[in-house]
Amino acid sequence: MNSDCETQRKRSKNKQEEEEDEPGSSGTLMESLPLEIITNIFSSLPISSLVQSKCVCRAWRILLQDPNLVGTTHNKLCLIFHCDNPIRNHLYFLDFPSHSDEIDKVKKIQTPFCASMPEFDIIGSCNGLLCLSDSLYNDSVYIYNPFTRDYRELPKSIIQYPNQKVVFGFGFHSETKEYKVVKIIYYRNGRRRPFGRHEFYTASQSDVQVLALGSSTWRSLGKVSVCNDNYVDHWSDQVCANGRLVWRRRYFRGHSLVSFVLADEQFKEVPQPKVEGFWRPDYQLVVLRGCLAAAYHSRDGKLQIWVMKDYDVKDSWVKEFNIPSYMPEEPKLEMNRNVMVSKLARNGRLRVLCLLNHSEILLEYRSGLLVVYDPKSGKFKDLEFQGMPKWFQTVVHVGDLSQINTHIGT
Amino acid sequence: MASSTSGSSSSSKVVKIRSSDNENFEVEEAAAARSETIKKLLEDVGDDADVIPLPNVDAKTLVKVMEWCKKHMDDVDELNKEEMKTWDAEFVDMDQSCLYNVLLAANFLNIKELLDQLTQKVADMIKGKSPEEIRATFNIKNDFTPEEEAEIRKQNAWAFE
Repeated sequence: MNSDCETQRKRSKNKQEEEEDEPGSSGTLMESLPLEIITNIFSSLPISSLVQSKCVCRAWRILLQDPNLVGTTHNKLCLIFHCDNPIRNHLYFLDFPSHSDEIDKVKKIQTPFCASMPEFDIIGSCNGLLCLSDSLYNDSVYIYNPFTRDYRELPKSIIQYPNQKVVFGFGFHSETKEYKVVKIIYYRNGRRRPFGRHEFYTASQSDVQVLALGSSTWRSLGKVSVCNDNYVDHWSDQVCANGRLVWRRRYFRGHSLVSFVLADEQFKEVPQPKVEGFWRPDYQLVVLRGCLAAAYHSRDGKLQIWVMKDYDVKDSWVKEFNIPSYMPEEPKLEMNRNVMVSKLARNGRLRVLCLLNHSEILLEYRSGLLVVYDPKSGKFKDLEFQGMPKWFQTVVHVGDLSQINTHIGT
Repeated sequence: MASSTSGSSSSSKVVKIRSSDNENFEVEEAAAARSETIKKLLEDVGDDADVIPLPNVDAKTLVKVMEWCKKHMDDVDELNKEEMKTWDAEFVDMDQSCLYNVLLAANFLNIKELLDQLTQKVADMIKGKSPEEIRATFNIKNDFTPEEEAEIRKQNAWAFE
């Protein structure tokens, strides 16, 4: 790859000389610019344009696949929509924030593994990679880069438990440069009936298994080593912050924040913000500016966002936003029969997705509409896109064009 | 045809710069100093400087770059921001050979803001286009074999809908 780049550089130089010989000749602009400038140009393009550019010529393809050359990721933010209505699971994506003045078009992403895994959950998104788990059988896990269509099916666990219920996690540790998938398995032996859907509090046994991407086997770490490990609690969707996977965990006496430190593979409780006066001890976890944050729904319909400025420091939790109640006017938010069978729509409510430039906040309303809230003006703006799926759950993703093996070093 | 881009303000200091094709220009120091390269050269030589040679930039390109520097010499207040935006948009709207030369000059002269504007201009020429349109825009040869091309299209089918 290096030698190809070298050739490209030399060719650029020759072209440059030719250009200087014939002033006024046009048409070789992009081929003859120094690599540094070309890299700058690419880094200001959205991911959809980079996918198109990769197909222009060999030199561009080499350049765009090299993770070291197109290092700036701030403009490749995009949104992935996971949609399960009416049947099967589909992924769509959108360049975001918009790069043009026209109404952006939502595009469908193919899932090359759809024959073997037609329905899936998105465990997480990390550095351009999605981690997906089979939502029908719970035993397949895939790593997928939707913009290269490159994917890996992860090895299966050697030990399978009867009546198991699995909580997943996926994250990257920047110091060890390792991606890890974590499975927290609750199971029951014997002839007892399997877990019901809302059965959180039944006594059970647990096993935690970890797979570092690139290795061939799952390692067992034994049972869950934080409070109440004999109960199948309700674990929220995970977030990854500061090299830790974090879940909100609800059990019969209350709720806690549980982290799994990716480096030393230990569970640890995380201090929660001191929020009082909420009827529902329930909150959504999200990562804002690299910090762990929690969004609470208050009784008056407001949404408070608390941010933990210094990780693991209880006093550093600060209430940063207080978002008034808002009801988007879209009629499509009405439930219909199809929606009732859609798992995503059932789970849907107001979710905080991410911060945008100028500190605006992107929100998802009841799995059907995206809204931007501006804390300065207190105004809401419903977003409209062409080809938007009707019911979806949004994953904030950073588009990347490098192959999976460059991430995991195999 | 030695043109001068020197400003109207009589009190400001003027520096002399020379293009690769040996044309001399007199430019206000505040404008020339938008270029980090020239600024550093001026600091190095101090007041003894006669003419600062710029061996990588020809006269035609230098006129264009100094036009930008002069416009961006002073801080822009809020009122003039919109006007400046329009001016900038018109400025970067040039033919490709010119764009290429000004890009290289902005890179050599180290004028970050100008470089960013030009880079954005080229990015805008790529944005929203298909590979064929990008090749046509920049006159790039398609060097994939038909088999590779078919494979790439298959892989990125969603992108070509």
